[in-house]
Amino acid sequence: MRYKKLTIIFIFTFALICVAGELCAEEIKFKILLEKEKVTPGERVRMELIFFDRTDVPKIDIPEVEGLDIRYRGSSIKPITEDGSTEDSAVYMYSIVSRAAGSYTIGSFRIEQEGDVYVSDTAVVEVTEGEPEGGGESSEKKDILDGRIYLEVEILRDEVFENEKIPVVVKLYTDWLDLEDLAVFDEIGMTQLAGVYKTGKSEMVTMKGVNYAVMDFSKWFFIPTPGEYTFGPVKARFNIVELSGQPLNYNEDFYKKVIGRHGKHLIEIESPKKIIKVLPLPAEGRPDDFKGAMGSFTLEAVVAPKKIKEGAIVNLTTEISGYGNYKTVSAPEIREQEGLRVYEPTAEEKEGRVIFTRGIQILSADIKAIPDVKFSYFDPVEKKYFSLFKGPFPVAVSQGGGLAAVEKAKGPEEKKEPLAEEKKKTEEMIDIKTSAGDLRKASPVFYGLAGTVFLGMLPLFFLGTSVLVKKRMDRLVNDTAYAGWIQASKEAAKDLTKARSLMRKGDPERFYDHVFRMTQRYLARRFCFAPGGITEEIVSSQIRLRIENGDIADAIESIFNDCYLSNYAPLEFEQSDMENTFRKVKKVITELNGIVYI
Amino acid sequence: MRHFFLISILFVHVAGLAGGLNVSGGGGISRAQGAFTEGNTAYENGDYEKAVEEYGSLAEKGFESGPLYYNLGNAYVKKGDIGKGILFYEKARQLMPRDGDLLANLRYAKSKMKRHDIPVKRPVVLRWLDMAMSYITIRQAVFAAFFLYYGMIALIIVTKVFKKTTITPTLPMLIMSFFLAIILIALPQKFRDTERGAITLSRITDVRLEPSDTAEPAFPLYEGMKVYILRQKGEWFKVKRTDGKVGWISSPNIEAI
Repeated sequence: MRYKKLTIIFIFTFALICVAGELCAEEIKFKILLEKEKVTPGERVRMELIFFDRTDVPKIDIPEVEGLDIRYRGSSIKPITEDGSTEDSAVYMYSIVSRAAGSYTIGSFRIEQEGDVYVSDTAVVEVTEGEPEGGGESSEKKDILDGRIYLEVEILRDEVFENEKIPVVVKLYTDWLDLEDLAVFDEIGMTQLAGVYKTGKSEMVTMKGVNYAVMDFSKWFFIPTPGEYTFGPVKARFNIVELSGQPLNYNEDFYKKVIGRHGKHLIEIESPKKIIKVLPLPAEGRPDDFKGAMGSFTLEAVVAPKKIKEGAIVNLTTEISGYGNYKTVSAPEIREQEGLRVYEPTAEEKEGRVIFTRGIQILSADIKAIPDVKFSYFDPVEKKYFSLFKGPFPVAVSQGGGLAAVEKAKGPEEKKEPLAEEKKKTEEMIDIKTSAGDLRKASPVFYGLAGTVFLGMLPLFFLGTSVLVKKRMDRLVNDTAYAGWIQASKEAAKDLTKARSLMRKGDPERFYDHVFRMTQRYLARRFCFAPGGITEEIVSSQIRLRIENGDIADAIESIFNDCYLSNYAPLEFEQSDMENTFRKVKKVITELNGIVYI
Repeated sequence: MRHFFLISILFVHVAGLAGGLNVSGGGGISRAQGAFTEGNTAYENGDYEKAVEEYGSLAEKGFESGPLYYNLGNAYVKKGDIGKGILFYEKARQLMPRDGDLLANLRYAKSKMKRHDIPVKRPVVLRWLDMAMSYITIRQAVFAAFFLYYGMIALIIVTKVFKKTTITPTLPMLIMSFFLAIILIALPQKFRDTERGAITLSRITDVRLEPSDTAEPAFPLYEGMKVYILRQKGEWFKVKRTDGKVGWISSPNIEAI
């Protein structure tokens, strides 16, 4: 019972909270504003949903309107005036395209979203065949791509001076188009006269009730010769990306549906040309040291070190900064003075300044200061020349060391020609070499691909060979049968040669004696016996058992038999007998050489 | 005895061959020395055109030496041709990389460039290696690599295969491996510098996106700037600037080191 009451209270409380939430839900009104109310089929019209005095409203999903293709394009917060008061208001922007003629009513909408209710008024767009409203009227700016994107070029002045830095700002106005791979360029390109366009700020502007995203691109250039020139057109090349996600019209063909709506379109637009008149620099008031620097500059200079010995070199660093064409800026001039040797400067250009460093050799201890430096430029805004001075720069020069001391130590004649080594140090460039060195015909490199591969493989070959040799050496030491086989084979080859020689001499006594000994020695090595222990009996009893081939054993026995008989009656043996015995010996050795282990 | 006999025959043959080569090449070298001296005289007299002519004739005939390229570089710089000057200094640097005079004059010539080379973005360690390698020629680097490689193999053969010594090879192997690795890491950049390096000769020239005079310019090159040649198509070279930008440039504007 108690649980039943609790359940009823819980349900009632829950329902109350829901109703209260619904009752408390805020109703937010917004306006529908159309760019045009009369358009032609296919013409794009901008529609804005304006939430007056509200900046915290989320994007609402407006319902589809039959016959209209509505696409969301972005949002902004801008001041909107209503009933005499101006307040920051959220504005959501859409584009509307209708393919067919007719009258289309947009709204009124009542949209519930995230607990709030959004209520709008109504707008009507009339789509009629023929000229669109306002069509054919001359526009201040030439619109391209259905009036959605165009370029404007801003140049410093129409009249400039030769070599004057001419900044140019290109503004790309775009109305809700998504651009990719954007490149801005002009005919001057990247020559020595100009740099590349750098992307600057982006902002939203409203012109004649139309909101534009504006992108700035800037660069500068200069024209070295007076005359009248045409700048531009500046071109912008980009891809337009068709947004997807909106419902398709059924009257669009397949190509447009699949490719046209989702693809990229490469577009190139260009700005109008600009005429620039380039004036020559005035001759009046031109300083003697003027070398063409154009702009408005400041000069800083420093000398280091300030305490030196005569003959040493100090560095004079001058920095020119300011606004202008740095390509026309050269090193400030230093006033000539006895006892100083001034070297050519080196230049280093950094952002917004150029630093020149030059060495100055102090040739005399009488020098008290490095003279002042002068830099002259023409200011194209003021239209007159200016000269900047810095210095002189005090230095404390002590005697001793250096070139001057060397010169002083020598007689007056030697003073005219400083030591070659010292002269070498003081030249701008070190002198040529008197010896041609290892002058020879240029030889092909030894580290070409084939050579490198060969030289790289060679040690690996050595390594492999070494491993094989080592293995063989180890085997010869550890494997008696193998060692015996190798040694027996080598000795047998020599012994056969000698036996053939004795046979040809027709000396049966010595022939058979040699054959007997060589056979004994060979068999002893192969079967690991003492050489004297090899007899016909051993052959019959032991060696025959180890040789599977009975013919060989028979041949060995026959050889021994011949040798025994020759001991008793050597003269009985003729040349043919010796040849027969030699063949048997050769056959035995050849057969047994083919077997490693017996 | 027999080995001594064979070695003696070999020695006699090699000595004879070397002597023959020396004799046959002797006349050419002495004429080249003469042309070099004439170049020096012209240079000393301030006739840099003639100096370039004399030194250049030697280079065209295929002669090379560090001092020859150095003097040729000097003559070009004195003439005001900074690009050619830097080109021949760089050639000289490949033959005598530690020569102080050469490095000083190369610095001087580079200070005359309108725009300096854009520094290569490489890790610090690799830049150290590049700097170390700049003190030796590529031949020396390759020789050192082979020397270490052969040494390591020899050490393995002696200590591991034949076990002829009681020395433990670990430490020497580690040291040799370390230096070999350093050389092998640094060698590709050295090869790139040597084999693909080129110097811009025009005061300023546009590198284009395609090998055509009408193609869009991609970026500029100034006299003396270094590039790497990637490939050649007719008279056009595909080059890479030190900052990695790539484009096409026609052949008269650059010359390989």
